[in-house]
Amino acid sequence: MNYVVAMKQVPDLQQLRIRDKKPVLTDIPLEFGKIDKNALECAVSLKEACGGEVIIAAVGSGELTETIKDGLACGADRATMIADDGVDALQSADVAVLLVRLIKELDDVGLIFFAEGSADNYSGQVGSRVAQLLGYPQVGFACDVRMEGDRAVVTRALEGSFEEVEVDLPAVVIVASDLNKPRLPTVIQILKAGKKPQEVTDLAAVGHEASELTVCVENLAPDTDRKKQELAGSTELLAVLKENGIIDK
Amino acid sequence: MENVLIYSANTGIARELLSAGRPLGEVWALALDEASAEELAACGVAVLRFDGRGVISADTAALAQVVALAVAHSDASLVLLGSDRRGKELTGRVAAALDAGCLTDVKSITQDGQTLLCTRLAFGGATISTESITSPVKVIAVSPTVFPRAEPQGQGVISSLTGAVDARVRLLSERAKDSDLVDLKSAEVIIAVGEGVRDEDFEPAQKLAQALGGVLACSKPPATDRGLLGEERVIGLSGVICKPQLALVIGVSGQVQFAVGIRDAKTIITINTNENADMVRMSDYFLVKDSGEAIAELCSELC
Ligand SMILES: Cc1cc2nc3c(=O)[nH]c(=O)nc-3n(C[C@H](O)[C@H](O)[C@H](O)COP(=O)(O)OP(=O)(O)OC[C@H]3O[C@@H](n4cnc5c(N)ncnc54)[C@H](O)[C@@H]3O)c2cc1C
Repeated sequence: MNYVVAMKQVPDLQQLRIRDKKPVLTDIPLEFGKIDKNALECAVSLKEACGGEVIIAAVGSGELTETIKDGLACGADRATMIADDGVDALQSADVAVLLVRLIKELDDVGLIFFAEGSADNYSGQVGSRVAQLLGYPQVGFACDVRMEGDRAVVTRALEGSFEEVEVDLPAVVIVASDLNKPRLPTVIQILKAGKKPQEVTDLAAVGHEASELTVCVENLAPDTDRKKQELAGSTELLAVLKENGIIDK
Repeated sequence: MENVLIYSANTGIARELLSAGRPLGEVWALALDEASAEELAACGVAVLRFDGRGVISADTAALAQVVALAVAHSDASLVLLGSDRRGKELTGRVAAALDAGCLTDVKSITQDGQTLLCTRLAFGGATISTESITSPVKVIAVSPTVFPRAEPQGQGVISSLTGAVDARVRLLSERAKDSDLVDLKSAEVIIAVGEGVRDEDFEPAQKLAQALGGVLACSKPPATDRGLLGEERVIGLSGVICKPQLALVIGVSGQVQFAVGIRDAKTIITINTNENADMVRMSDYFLVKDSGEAIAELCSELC
C-alpha cells in the first residue's frame, strides 16, 4: 500500500515585503510549507513502519522540479507533478482537479496526506475537495495516524477536544500543524534526491481549463504604523503602563 | 431574494450564521439532532432536521452529503458554514460536491449590488484580501464571533429531511483537551511571551500578567513545541485574534502569523533583545533587553 503526500510550493513569507500596501512577491524563493513537511513526515514514518512507497503529488510553477528535491530528500520515494508557470494563476478548485488526475494514475493508494492549510493562503480547501472528487472518506486536523489492518485510526484535534476515529481505506488525511518534527535530510539524502524518479507534465499536456470560481477584488496590507519609541529601561516602561491607566502607582 | 442554508455542528456558531445570513436572504438551518433543531427553531428560523441514523459530525464525507441534500431541499444558492475546525474541513468538501467556489475564515460579508464581498486574511495575515465567489452556488465559512448570536424570537418550523448517506468513519473515543478557559478575545491587557522567554521565566510572567490585571498569552511555539501553555493562549492566525487596550509582547519576533493576532491592540509595548525584530517595527514602545531580566525587574516593582 502506498502513501501520497500533496505538497504546495509557497513563497517564504519571512521575506515578504509590503510596498504601497501591496505584497511584493518578486525574487522570493519558493519552498514547501512547514505543515506540508509535517504531512510528509507522517507518511514517511508510516511507510517505515508498514512498508509501501511515499509519492509526492504536486502542482506548481516551473521551478517545482527544483523545490521537489527537498521533499525527495526528506524521505519520499518519488514524485508526480505538474510543473508549469501557468499554475500560479490557478485557484484551489483547479489545483484539486489537477491533483486528482495525478493521484488517479497511481497504483495501490491507501492514504493521501494534505496539510491543514497552505502557508500562503491557508484556506484549507484542497484536501477536502480532493477527497470529495475521489469519493474517499476523510479525516482533518489529524494529530496522530496509525494503521490497523485495512483501516487507519486517526486522532482529530478539535478546538476543545480530541476524537479518535477509524476510517476505511483509501482515505484522505489532512494533518494539523506540529503533529511531528519533520526530519532534516542528511547530505547523502540531499545528493540522492535528484536521482529519485520524477514524473513531470505541464498544463498543455493535461489540457485543463481554469474554472475561476472566485475573484480577488483587492489584497492590501492594513495600516500598522506605530510610533516605535524606544524606552531606556523598566522604569520608563512602568511609566508608560501608568500613563495608559494599567497601573496606578 | 436568494435562499441561504446555514449549518454548524456547534449551535452557538449556527446562531451567528443566522445573524450573518438574515440580511442576505431567506434562511434555512440544518440540524442533525433534536436539541439543536429546537434551539435554532426558537430563533425563528425554518429548520431542516436530518434524521438519518448513523451520521456523525466526525464523518465529514457523510456530513457533506447531508448538506448537499439540504441545499437541494431548500433550493439555497448560498451556504454559510462555521470556520471552526469542523466547519472549515467541511467547506471544501461541500463546495466540491456543489461545483461551487468557496471562501474560508471569512471576517466580513458585505453586499455590493448582486455581489457578496468577503474579506479574509492572506499571506499568513500580512494582507487582507477582498474576494467574491462567481459560481451559481456559493459556500462561505465564517470565522466564529464575527457575527453576534441570533437571540430567541418567534418559532421556526422544523421539518424532516431524509436521504441515504454512506458512513465510512467510526468514532472510537473522545476526550476533552485540558484547557483553562481563558478569554483572550475580550482581555483588556495581554502579556504575550514567545521563544525568547526561557522556561523558568513563564511563572514570573504569569505573576506579572496577574499584577497587571491581564491575561498571559503566547506565540505558537511555546504552546505547540514546548507545551508550556495551552493552545487556547496562542495569539495569531491559527490562534486568537485579540484587540486589547494594551499588549506587552516579550521575546516574540513578530512574524506575520503572530502579528495578525495582535496588530489591532490599542497600545503595543515590545521587549526584545533584537532592536530590528519585526515586532519592534509594529510597536508604540520598545525596550531592548533580556526577557528574563525585564520580567524580574517588572515583577519586583509590581508583584
Ligand atoms: C500556517 C501557519 C500558521 C501559524 N499560526 C501561528 C499563530 O497563530 N501564532 C503564532 O505565534 N505563530 C504561528 N505560526 C508560526 C509563526 O510563523 C512563527 O514561527 C512564530 O510566531 C514564532 O514565534 P516566536 O516569535 O515566539 O519565535 P521566534 O521567531 O523564534 O522569535 C523569538 C524572538 O525572541 C527574541 N529573543 C531571543 N532571546 C531573547 C531574550 N533572551 N530576551 C528577549 N528576547 C529574546 C528574538 O530576538 C526573536 O525576536 C504559524 C505558522 C504557519 C506556517
